[in-house]
Amino acid sequence: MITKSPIDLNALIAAVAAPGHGGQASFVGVVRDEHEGKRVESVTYEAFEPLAEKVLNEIVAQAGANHGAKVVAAHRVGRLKVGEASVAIVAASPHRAEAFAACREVIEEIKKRVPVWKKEHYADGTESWLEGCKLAASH
Amino acid sequence: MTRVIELYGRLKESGERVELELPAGTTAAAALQLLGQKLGRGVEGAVLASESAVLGADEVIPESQRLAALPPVCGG
Repeated sequence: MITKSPIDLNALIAAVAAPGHGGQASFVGVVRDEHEGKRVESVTYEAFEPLAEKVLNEIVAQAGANHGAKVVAAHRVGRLKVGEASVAIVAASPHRAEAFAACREVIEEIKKRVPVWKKEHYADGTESWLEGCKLAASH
Repeated sequence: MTRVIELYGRLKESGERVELELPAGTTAAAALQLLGQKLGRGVEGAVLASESAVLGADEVIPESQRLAALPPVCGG
């Protein structure tokens, strides 16, 4: 899900818990205080929400199918301070390897495919949009 | 017809959205070229998307969905 609210990691963990799941893996991305030598105070995340929600759901479903895991993910939008969680993924599976693999797949795909951008706000009063991966056509 | 193109990421330096005159049958590549001319800046690396898909360069712009210009992404 794409959310304007702080991410509740415990709620994500609860969503994938099941008696047959002996392994749970989680990844949490947080706002870092430095980028290329500049002191970061906060980061604004924005998304093209209808498409971001759709692609994130596809990524989560695909990772779950690929690894036999139950997976959930949340990506925050809005202005976040250093240390706040911008993204969280939790995967659960009967054994740990599949949970780790599913978690890793989801974060790597998010970075390549979900229409989300971030603008860093620096301590010196400047700010900058960051760019990463060009999106590929859906078809 | 006049279409609204929503701008995201670095493209927001040119505003939240822009109106373009896009004749029926306009492809995504042609629309991006017109967008660059309208904004007076390069749109290299950007793609056009609807609410449900990233459009290929040769795809015709859909008539009934929101349209957005999306620069390279950096979520996470």
